[in-house]
Amino acid sequence: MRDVVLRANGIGKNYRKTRALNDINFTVYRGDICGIIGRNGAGKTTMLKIFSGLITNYDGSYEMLGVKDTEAERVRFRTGSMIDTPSFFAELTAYENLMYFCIQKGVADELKVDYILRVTGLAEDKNKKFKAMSMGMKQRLAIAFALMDEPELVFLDEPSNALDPMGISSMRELFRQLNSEFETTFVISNHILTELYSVANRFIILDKGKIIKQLTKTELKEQCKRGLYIRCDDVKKTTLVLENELGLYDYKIADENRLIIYRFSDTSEIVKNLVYKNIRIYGVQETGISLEDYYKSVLEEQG
Amino acid sequence: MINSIKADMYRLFRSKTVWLVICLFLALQVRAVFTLKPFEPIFDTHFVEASSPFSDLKLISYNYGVLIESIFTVGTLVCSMYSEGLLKNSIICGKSIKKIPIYKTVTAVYINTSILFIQNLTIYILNLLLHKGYRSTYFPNVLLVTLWQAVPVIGWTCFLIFIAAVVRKYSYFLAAIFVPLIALSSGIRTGYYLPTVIMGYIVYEPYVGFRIYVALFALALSLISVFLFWLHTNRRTE
Repeated sequence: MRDVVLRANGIGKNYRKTRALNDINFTVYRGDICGIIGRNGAGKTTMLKIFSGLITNYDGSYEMLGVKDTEAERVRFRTGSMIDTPSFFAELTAYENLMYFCIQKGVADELKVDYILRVTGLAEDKNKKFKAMSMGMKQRLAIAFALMDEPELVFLDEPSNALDPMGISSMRELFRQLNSEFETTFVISNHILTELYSVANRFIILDKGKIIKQLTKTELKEQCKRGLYIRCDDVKKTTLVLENELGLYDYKIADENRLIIYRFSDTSEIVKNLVYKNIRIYGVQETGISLEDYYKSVLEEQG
Repeated sequence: MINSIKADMYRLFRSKTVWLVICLFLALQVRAVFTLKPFEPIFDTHFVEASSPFSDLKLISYNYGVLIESIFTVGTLVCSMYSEGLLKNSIICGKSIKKIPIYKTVTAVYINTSILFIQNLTIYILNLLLHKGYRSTYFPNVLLVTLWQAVPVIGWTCFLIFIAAVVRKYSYFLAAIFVPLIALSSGIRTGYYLPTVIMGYIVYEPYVGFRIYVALFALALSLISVFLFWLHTNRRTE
């Protein structure tokens, strides 16, 4: 049975008369990368703030790393967070800022600080003062702050904000690496859905403070129902191979050279079989609705 | 708590302003020791009678520098926490919002009393070296005076912390402290400026005239200030 690292039980939050969060229930398991999707004001940041201890006045409860929310301070040093805009001492350098918080956490290890600065791409700018940094660098520093000291659970609010394409890609790789090597659990909110889709294995869709959908990546793929476009010289022969050799019946013939296959598992297996039967393949393309399209359709369903 | 204090000290001693102010006042102390001559007052005549012979103990007794330095140390410690939004980072690191004001107060008090001790020790050692013990007191006396001086330093530090937490911006905080200080400059000369008076009362003839009630007032001020600081931080966090 998988280890539960975060369990929300009916969390709600009011900002004066506005209900920002309402009856939030979900579970995150160790090693998950959980993506939170929602439009502006959906309650993503509020939810992450509650788990990070920045909001203490809320309804419901949560369990984090085996302890109740009332005792969460005890385990918060095992978590990392990046919420809102990056905030650090303007007069201190990147290295000094991280060292300050490392000392505060009780792990004043120069090697750890150097390592996290290197993997977040700040090694060359480690002696640059925070006030002299670009927005991208500040964002990287905030990510470095969240990931320092090998946390077990990380909350990231819009981590790709202000990052350049290379930065987004390297951060994605870093999250994956930490997830696979140390089983670090991530809870990430991001507006760039393609980015979230490529890194997360679980998704929570929030709207108007409520969870409207929770699904795993496998379930999402199923929901998005992929299609495989094949352009070949002989469509009739292709359909015979699909039915007789591969057992695939869910397809549609587009024209005399093209057909679309639905509900398939392995593209390479299909191509291999078609080539083996001397069918000329001119083009193969996987298509389907994207996470963005799916998200829109879910929102439309909700009205 | 130790980690928080260590981290704040790490941050404090990376501030150029703090170093500058500490060095400036240390230099003034050193200068005072160099110019120390018998039967020649070098300090404010309100406190020191012109005919009284100078000794390092007298010099130590009128060491007010730390009261000015503490304005900068407290400003650096507390204002940055608010104005740069760093309180949230400390909470994320697992520090309790209820305990952060206590950590900050302990750090500021520890730093300021340490500076006071270092300054007094410098005066004592320098005087010992320069005047070959002619006007030197015994070391336990230095410790005793420092201990009494620490009382108003603690009270003043806690009061400053509360003001810094309310004002939040470093520049406004400096203005909030220095503008009344300048406005009351005649008061300073005549000894009406509160911390100077408190310190003067406590350390003046430290063997005879211990003013316990002044010490109690300073401690009460510190307790009230810390409580208000704690209340203010907890109320404003969300």
